[in-house]
Amino acid sequence: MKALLLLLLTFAHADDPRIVLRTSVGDMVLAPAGNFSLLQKMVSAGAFEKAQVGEVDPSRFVKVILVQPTQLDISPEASTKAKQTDVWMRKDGTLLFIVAETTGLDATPVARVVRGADVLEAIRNLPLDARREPQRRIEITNALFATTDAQIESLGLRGFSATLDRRRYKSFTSPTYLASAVLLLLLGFLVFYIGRYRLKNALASIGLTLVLVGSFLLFSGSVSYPNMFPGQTLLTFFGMLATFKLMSQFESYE
Amino acid sequence: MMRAPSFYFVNAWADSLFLGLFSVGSFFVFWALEGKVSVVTAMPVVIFLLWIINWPHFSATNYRLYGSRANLRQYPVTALLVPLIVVGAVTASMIYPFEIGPHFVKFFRNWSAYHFSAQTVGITLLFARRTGLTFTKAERWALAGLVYGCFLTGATRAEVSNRSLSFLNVEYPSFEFSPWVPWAFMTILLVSAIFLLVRVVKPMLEKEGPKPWIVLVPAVTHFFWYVPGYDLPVFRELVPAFHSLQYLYLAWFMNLRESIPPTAPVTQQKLVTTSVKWWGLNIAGGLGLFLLLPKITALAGGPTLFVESFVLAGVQVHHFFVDGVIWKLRNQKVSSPLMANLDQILHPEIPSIDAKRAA
Repeated sequence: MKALLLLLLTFAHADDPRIVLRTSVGDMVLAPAGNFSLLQKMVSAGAFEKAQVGEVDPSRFVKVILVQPTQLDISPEASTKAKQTDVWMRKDGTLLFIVAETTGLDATPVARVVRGADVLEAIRNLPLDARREPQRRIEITNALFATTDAQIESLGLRGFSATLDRRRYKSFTSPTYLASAVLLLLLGFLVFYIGRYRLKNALASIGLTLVLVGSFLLFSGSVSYPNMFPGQTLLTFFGMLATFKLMSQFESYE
Repeated sequence: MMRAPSFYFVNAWADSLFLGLFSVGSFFVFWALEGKVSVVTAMPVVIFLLWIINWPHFSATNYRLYGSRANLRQYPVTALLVPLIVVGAVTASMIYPFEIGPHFVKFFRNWSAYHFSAQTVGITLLFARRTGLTFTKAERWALAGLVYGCFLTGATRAEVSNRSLSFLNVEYPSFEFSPWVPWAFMTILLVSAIFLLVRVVKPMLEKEGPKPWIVLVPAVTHFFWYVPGYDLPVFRELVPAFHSLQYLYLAWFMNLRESIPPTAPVTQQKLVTTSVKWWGLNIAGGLGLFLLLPKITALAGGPTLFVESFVLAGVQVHHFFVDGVIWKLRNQKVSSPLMANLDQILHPEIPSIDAKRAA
């Protein structure tokens, strides 16, 4: 799937590509600078999955370290001046978010922060432990691609917050919605039963279609629904698997 | 004297390689190279495999269903209704990219892993039938316990964390399972594996004559995909290609069997021409499904940030759905060609496995 993302990106030919970097304390938008395509490649390869903020040097940079360091074929530009909000990358994939002008970095520029500089500034000012890392773990929760401001807006960017709501998705959870899903599911089972065991014809497949739609609507509504009883998520999961299994009965009447 | 039919499609090596040894061999290669090869460096290989294996395998399903009037007549509801269901789901996802879309993607991701498992069970039972090995009801349950146990262990491990998951540009929720859940499934898979070792593998070893090891290959491969392979990110990226390779191998054989009349001998050149044409068509079909279709949908006004995610999820859901219908082994039209082998296509005088057994 990661390769698929990279391939789609190759064919996208975006004039103004952006990477939306989501952290557990807020989002940043990165625009091209230097070797941006390398950063795109890294993001699409999922290199920043579970990455986290490492060493913070408040007079130079905020470091984001990968879970799995890599070996990149890049030439460090130690003599080049790194400016505030620039993003540089080291050979092992570590990102350096520059918070004050500096030189002598064993890295190369790959992007610049165009939105969410307040998040970077807030991370810079967080209390640090003995290893000069934030006392509280800050993770990269996701990295997404966008090409227009409208797309970025549609993602719902969020500024710095120490208690960020991590959910970006929503659910239809109104009782009417869930009740309709349950009714559709029950109706589907009834139609399936009649078509499969009584009439032995295509009605069974129509019934299964209703079951599939009802089951999906119920699933989409209940995933984010507050847990009402222990094992609710497991039950939802098994319900989903049972739906997949049931679909192999499609167009099977004998 | 009439030659006895082999229970391999091509031969022991080819069947083992395509159905599992490529996977298991790759696992050990990436295990040995752990820390030296990252997903980033392996990406060109993964992309190359997408073009020549993963995407053609999706196209092969459509080719089989829509490329034959007989299949269209046999599965009219699947051919007509399933695309409508999928288009409906993709459209709803585009209209509600945060309310419906993420759940559609989650639905598809889970269906994908389930589909891999169903294929593994199907291939195992196919080879059991070819080799004359019979599974009792309890043994079938144990096989399902092993195969689905592997998938459930891997799938639930990925959803223990409260981090959201993502597919291309779409974030979707995690189930946030308790940490004991993957261990429970791991226990089921281990108990099932022990049961199969005692009830199937041990008698197989004690029996005289050729040992039908090939029956075990898909399940062992599946174990590598989801249990030890889960911790090797590069290997994990290749699992869909290995699944697709298994599929293409059987679909290729099925296509040969159905497109070459079993009445007269055929030349090897004819076999190669038929195979290359089929593969080429499916490569083109794969490009159409995975590159062209999202572009066309975006041009038609889909939300560009998510259009690829939803369309590609739709293409894959269509594949899972159709596959579950058109590859049922209890259907004589499906199982009969799959009881032949390459030797029999080249030399029609050799009886099929079923015919030989009946004689």
